[in-house]
Amino acid sequence: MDVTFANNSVTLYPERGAYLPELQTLLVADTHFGKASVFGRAGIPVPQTTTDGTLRRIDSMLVRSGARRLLILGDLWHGRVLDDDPVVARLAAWREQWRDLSVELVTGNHDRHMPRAADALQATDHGEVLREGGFEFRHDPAAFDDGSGFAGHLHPVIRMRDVGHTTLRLPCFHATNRVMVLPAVGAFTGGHCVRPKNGDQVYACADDEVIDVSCVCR
Amino acid sequence: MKAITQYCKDRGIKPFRYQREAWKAFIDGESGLIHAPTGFGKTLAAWLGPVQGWIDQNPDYRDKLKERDGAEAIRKASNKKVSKRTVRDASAPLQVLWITPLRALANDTVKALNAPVEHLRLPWSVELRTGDVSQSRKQAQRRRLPTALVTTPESLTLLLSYPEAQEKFATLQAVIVDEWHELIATKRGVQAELALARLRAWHPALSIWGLSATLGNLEEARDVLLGARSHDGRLIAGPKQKKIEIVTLYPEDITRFPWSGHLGDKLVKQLAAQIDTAQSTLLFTNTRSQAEIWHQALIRERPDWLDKIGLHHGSLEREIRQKVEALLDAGALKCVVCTSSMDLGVDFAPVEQVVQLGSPKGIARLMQRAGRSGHQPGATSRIICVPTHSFELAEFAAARDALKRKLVEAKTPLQKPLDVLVQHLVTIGTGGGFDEAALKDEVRTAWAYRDLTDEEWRWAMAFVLHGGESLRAYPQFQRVTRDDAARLAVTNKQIERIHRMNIGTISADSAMRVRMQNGKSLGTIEESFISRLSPGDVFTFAGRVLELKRVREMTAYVAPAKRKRGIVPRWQGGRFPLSTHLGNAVRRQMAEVGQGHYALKELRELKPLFELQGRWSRIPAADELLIEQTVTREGMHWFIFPFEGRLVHEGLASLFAYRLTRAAPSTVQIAANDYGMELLSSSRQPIDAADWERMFSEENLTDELLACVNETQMARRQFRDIARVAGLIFQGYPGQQKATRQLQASSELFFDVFREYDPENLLLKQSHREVLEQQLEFKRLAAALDRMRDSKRVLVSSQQLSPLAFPLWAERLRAQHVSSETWAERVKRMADQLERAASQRPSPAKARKMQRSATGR
Repeated sequence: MDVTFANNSVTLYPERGAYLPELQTLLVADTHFGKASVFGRAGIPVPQTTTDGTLRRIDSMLVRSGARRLLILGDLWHGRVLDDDPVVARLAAWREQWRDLSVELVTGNHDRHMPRAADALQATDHGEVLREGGFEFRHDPAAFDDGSGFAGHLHPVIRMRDVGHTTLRLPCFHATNRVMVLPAVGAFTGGHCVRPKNGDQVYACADDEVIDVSCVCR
Repeated sequence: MKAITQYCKDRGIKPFRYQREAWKAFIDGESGLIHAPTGFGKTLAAWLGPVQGWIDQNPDYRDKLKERDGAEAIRKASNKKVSKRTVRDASAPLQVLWITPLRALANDTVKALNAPVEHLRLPWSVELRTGDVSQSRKQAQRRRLPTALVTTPESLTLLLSYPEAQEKFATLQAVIVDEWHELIATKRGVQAELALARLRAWHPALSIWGLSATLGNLEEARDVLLGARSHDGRLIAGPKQKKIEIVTLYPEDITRFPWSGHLGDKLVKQLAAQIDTAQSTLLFTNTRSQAEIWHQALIRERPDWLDKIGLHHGSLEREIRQKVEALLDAGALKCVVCTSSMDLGVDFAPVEQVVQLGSPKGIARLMQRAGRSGHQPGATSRIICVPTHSFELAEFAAARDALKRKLVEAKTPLQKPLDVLVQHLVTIGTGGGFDEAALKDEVRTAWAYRDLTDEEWRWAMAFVLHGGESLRAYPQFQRVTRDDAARLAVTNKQIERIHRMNIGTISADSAMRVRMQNGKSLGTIEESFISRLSPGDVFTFAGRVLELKRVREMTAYVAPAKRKRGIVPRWQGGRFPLSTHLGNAVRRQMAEVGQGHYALKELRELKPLFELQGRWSRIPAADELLIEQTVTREGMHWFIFPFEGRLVHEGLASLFAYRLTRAAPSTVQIAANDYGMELLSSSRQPIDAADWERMFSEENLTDELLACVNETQMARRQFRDIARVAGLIFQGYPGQQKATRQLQASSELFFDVFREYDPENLLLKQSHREVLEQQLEFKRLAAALDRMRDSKRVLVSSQQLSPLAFPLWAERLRAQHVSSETWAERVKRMADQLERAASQRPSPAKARKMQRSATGR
């Protein structure tokens, strides 16, 4: 779905990423790689194949957008994993498939558990913020002063009433007029319900399409 | 039985025959279940057996005691200090484990057990071990257990998680499980079964006795307790239940269009007057919200009672509850508004009168609650029933009918919940490890797992060893590991610690603590409720009107509000469904009324309502299934009335909606209550006879129900408990959360991830099975469907919402409305219009017109 954000055209994908045609950049946030390993070591079984799920989502968006660059808005890692962890090899193999892609990272709060977080993906680490094309790219949306741009961190989901007794929770892009928060792309990540204010835009990821639900959830 | 007979004589107790029978059976080394109504001395029936048994083994204990007293006198004379520890260690070693489901009861139990011990000067120590006991006491108990230990299933399991457990339990003679009827149909009961299986494996001759209130399936209850390989367990019956007198409080006028909770308010005045007639009153409500609402309403009605009316429900802070209990005991309270949190009690001071607000929904519950009045044996138990909507009068009549027929509900024991098994494996793994074959054998002696297949066992083992069956999916996993000697054990200290903290099956996640700003905790409210509020919003909780100040880290800080009224929180799972017996009884009453027999006063009071039902639609006869069809602007409504209880109707409604929408794509909304269900189809496509046949067909029943379960949130909700029990999510303690923050994930997330990446995971299947068996009461549902097929289908096209249909209409609306205020407004408008229509007897054309305006949005 193509939307306009801060006078720029942005393509939103139901796989939970956003593509900026002007910068030829695919944005994703909160991959939380290694989360299944961290859980597994603590005796909580989580299928490790969630890593594949996350990568499949990114693959699909890279192919469709033709992006030259992938920018990860923080929380690349969930926690510390050791060098011999299978997820490290899995990511290296994935990187090999996308040799020509430029992978870049702004760091998130979870990444501090992981020394040299960017290494496994041979990514360029921009530290806390990247400024480009009039935008700021950060992990934490609360860190924006006056600037405008994109962030992650919050794992936004929108809760909507379904017919009958059920409610639906869908990952969503949540944009104020200055900052657009991306949903978490990681397959093993939860979400926090957003309560949009008047004037906010909310785009929900429902199966294989993105739907503008701004008017529904106010 | 000399000693205990003497004890009874000294204390002026005249033993019942069943008590003597129980003592003798115990001394003969038997096991079994003792059932008697509250107030007939079940505690003594179970306790004095082991006491006498020990005295028989130690006939010279008094002489030894004298010796010891002598020695002590010498020591005292020589001014040597005796440490507490020496005194403790001098008591007889562990004899009896007393398991109670409620921590709140444990203190009273210790008191009751101590009475004969002190009187007979037994060198016994009777102690408590629950989550509330101090750390130092627990340490002491880990060194040496008291002679009798009063504990909960969770704390017992925790004891089993220490390597020295077997040695500590070496002298155990008997286990007594109190209030077994409260445990049997729960995962806590299964947890107790597994603990008992372990104790039995250590002590094949162990005596196990259960205490229970009256149940519909007592023999089964006994067998579940004694384990899969038991035979010849005794069933010892106490005296018959006291006579129960049901007194109904009638509203001055019966509204013909009742909806839940709203007629009741009008009765506050009458209720207050009723409370005024007695020294003390227990006012039972069915939900915590209702308790809060009525507590407020009574105080508004009688402001002078502010300090005389207590509130007691499960979400209140323990200290607050204990204070209320103590005040009630001391006779300082006129009335306590409570939920089933007060259903149980060892020696609560009897109250003068018991009031049941709203339908009790089951006979057993009504009997239990009535038993709280006039505690002395032989007296009549009187319970005053107050309807919260008109139809509940019919339920009171039905309860009276069912009581007369001596019908009591059964409690269905659970079948092999794998989450509990998984937790147990880790528990035993932390307790020094186990041999796989031996443990499998032991687990199968627990009734719930008697049919556990090798495949299921392998799956559970794989789950704790590798995380799941497919090794590839779960590398890095460790929980239980195999050591060189092929024993399986937990070796990781962190896992051990986290596991011990999370033993148990009670789910408490998403509860948010409510604190005053000075830090005093009032209790817990569900997160979903708080998250809808903003600072400054006013709500009612713990009997106070509170203003939300701020929310931080799962704690809501509040201050007393200036306003007099606030919105009332709703808690999940608060509502009991109508039991089968009571449902049948309601149906019987309905059929009687349809024939013009108004035998009971309650039904006579409802006559105008029934007559209207008959005029606008029909009163179903015993062999009829009533279906009302109404067209409004919203679409085509079908109201179906099987009288099978809310859970069954919810399941049936989802099934019918699923079948309808599969036959012809459309949107079907559903609603259910205890009497029936509503299907609302936007397509207005009529349903013909063949369609109805298909709707009620038993073909593909299980598969299609499972499909519904998948489409709705039911399995997801059920999975929450499973994830917690199986150790996927932690409850943790406040303050300890930080250490595990990186390990926090919601059960919903696990549910989604498993569904996508490990769809064969048996825990997922368990959640489906639990939804079918417990939430939808599958057996009952299938039986209901049978009955519906066999009934004569009566399809009535009604132009108005009938008195039976109206509450369903309102119920569906409630699910859609965000705010209860706007909902109540709309329902009231509709009720008023229907009421006018009912008293005017308009022409059919006018009725149709009115119908349209009444339901227009």
